[in-house]
Amino acid sequence: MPSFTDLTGLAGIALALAALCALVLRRVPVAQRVAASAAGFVFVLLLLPLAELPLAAYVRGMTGDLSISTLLLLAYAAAQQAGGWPPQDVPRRIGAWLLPVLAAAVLYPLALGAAPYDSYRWGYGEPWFLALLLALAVAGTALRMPLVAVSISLAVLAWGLGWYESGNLWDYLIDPLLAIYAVFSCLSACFALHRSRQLSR
Amino acid sequence: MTASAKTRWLLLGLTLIAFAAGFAKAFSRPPPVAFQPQRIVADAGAAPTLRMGFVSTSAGPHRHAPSLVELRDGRLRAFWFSGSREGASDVEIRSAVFDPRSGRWGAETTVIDRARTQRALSRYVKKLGNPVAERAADGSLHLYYVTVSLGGWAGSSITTASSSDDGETWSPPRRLVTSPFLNVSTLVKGTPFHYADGTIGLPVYHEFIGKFAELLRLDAAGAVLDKQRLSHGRSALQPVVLVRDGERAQVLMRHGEGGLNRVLGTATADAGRNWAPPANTTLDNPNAALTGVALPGGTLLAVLNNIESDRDQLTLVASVDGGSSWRTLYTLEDQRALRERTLDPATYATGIKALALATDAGLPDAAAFAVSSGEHMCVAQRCNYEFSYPYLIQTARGDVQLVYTWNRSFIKHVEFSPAWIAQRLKESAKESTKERTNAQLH
Repeated sequence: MPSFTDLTGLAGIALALAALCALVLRRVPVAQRVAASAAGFVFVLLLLPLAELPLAAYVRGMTGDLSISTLLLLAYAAAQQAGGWPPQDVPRRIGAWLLPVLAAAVLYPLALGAAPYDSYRWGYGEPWFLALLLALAVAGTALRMPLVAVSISLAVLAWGLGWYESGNLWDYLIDPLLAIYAVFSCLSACFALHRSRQLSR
Repeated sequence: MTASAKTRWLLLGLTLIAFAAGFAKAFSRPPPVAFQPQRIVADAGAAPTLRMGFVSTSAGPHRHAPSLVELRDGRLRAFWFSGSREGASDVEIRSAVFDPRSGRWGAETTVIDRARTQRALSRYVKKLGNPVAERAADGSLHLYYVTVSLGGWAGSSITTASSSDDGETWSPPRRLVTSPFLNVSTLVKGTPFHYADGTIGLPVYHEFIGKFAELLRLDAAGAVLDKQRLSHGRSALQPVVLVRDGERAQVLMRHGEGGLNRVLGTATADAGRNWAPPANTTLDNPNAALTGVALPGGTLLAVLNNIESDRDQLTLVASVDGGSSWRTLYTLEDQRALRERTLDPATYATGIKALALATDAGLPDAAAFAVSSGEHMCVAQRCNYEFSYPYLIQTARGDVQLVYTWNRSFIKHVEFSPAWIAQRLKESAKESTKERTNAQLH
C-alpha cells in the first residue's frame, strides 16, 4: 500500500494530466460535460495499476512531485472553468505570475551550479527565507492577490507538517512545470495589457 | 464587516497558522556542530599484517562500486552493485559479510533490486548504482544507493533503506529529495561520517550540466537537514571527507574533466561552516574515484589510481602534513607495463589467473576469474586491466579495511593492521629522506 505522501504525489500528477486533457478538449468543439468526463476518466486511468505500477508513477519517476502551488493553481483553473471564480485583472495577474518567474530565476541556475552559492539551501529552514515569504504572503493579502497569499501559506504549512518526501521548502513552493507555465503566462498577460492600452488610446 | 474584509481576515489567519508551523520546524533544526572523529575502542594487535582476498568468488556478473560498514560484533558488511553490465535493468545491490576472526567472507545475498525499489517508491526506476552504508546514532544501518528514472547517471537521485538487524532485513526504500530540478543528479560514493550530535554527513556529487561536490547532513531517521556546496564548476566529483578532529577535515575529490589530471582538495577548520576554495593536490587522478580515511594521530590515508590516465594501477598513499604532500605506502596493483602490448583474450586469461592466485593462493577455480574478467574487460580481442572505485574505512579495532572493483568482475578486499601502517609510515619516511638526500647530492 503506497504511503500518504506517495498517494498525494501520484494524485497530483494524475490531476495535472487530467487538467491538460481538459485544456486540449477546450480547443475542440465538445460539450463541457464530455470534456469534464474525459478529464475524470484520464485521472482515474492514470491511478490504476495497469502495468507493474500505475501509469502516473512512470510520469512521477521523471517529474517528481508537483509543488503545492501547482496543485492550487490547477484547482483554481478548474474553479474558473466551472465559473465559480472570477478572473483576476491583468496587472494583478502579471504580479502573481512574476513571483514564480523570479523564484525560478533565483533557484534553478544556482542549484544547477551556475555559481558557488546554492539558493536551494535556504529551503532547509533558513528563518530569514521564511520571514521573506511571510512578508510576501501578507503583501499578497493586502494587495488583493489572494492566490499568492494562499499558495505561499499552504506551501509553508505543508512543509511544516512534512507532507511530501522532500524536506526542502522550495519543493513545496515551485516546480519546473510551474516555472515554465509562469513564464508563458507572464508574457501572455504582458501582451494582453499592452493590447488593451493600445485599444484604449 | 464586508465580504472582502472577511476574506482578508481569513487569509491572514491561514497565513499565521501556516507560518507558525513553518517557524516551529525551522527552529527545531539542529544547529551546526563539531565533527565526530572515528572512535578506536580496541587494539587490533601489535603484529604488522596485511591480508587480502576476494569478497565473492562466483564468476559471471559485472560487479562494481563496493563499500563497507562495520557491524556491531566487529564483522564487516560489504555492498556493491551487480548485474549483466553497468546500467542494466537487472542490476541489484548485493552484500556479503566478512568475519575477521576466520578471515572468510560469507555467501553473497541480494539486498534490493530495481523492481522492489520502484514498487516502494511508487515511481518508475530504470537502474540502480553505487551503494554506501553508515550506522546511525540509534544503531540502525542506513544504506544509500543511486537510482535513475530518467536518462543516464546524470539523472540520478539517492534512495535510502534502513536495517535494525545489521543488514539481514531492510525497510522499504524511500527517496531523498536533494535537488529542485526534477530531483536529478545527486549521487553517492564517498564514505559517510558523523557529527557530534549523531547526525550523519553524506558526501554526494552532482553531474548534470555542472560537476561539483556537495555535502548532505541527515538526521538519525535519514531526513535531509542541510546541503552544502564543496566545489562548483565542472571539475569535481565523488568527494571523500577525511575527518581529522572535531573542527578540521580534508576533502579529496575525483578530477572530473580535462586539464591537469590532479585530485582536487578542499578543507575546513570550523567543522564545515566554511570550506576553502578547491585546489589541485599533488596526487594524480585519471578521472577515477578515490577513497581516504584520517587516522587518530592525524595521518591521512588515501587509495587511488595515482596516475594521469587509465585505471591499471592502484596505490595506498599517506600524508602526515594534512594533505599538503603525499607518499606511497604500498602499491596494490600495477599493470602499467602491459599498456603498450595488445592483450589478446588468451594472454589476458593467463595474466588474470596469476593475479587472482597472487591474491588468494587457495582459490578453487582461478580459471573462472579469467573467464569472468575477459567477459567484462575484453572488447574486440583487446583486453584491459581495471582496479577502481576503492572504499576505505577504519574499524573500531583500529585496522584499516579496503575494498575495490577488480576488473569489473570481482570485489577485492585488503586488510591493513595499525602496526603494518605504522611500520610502512616509518619506512616510507626513511625512503623519502634518502630520496631527498640523493637529490640534494646530485
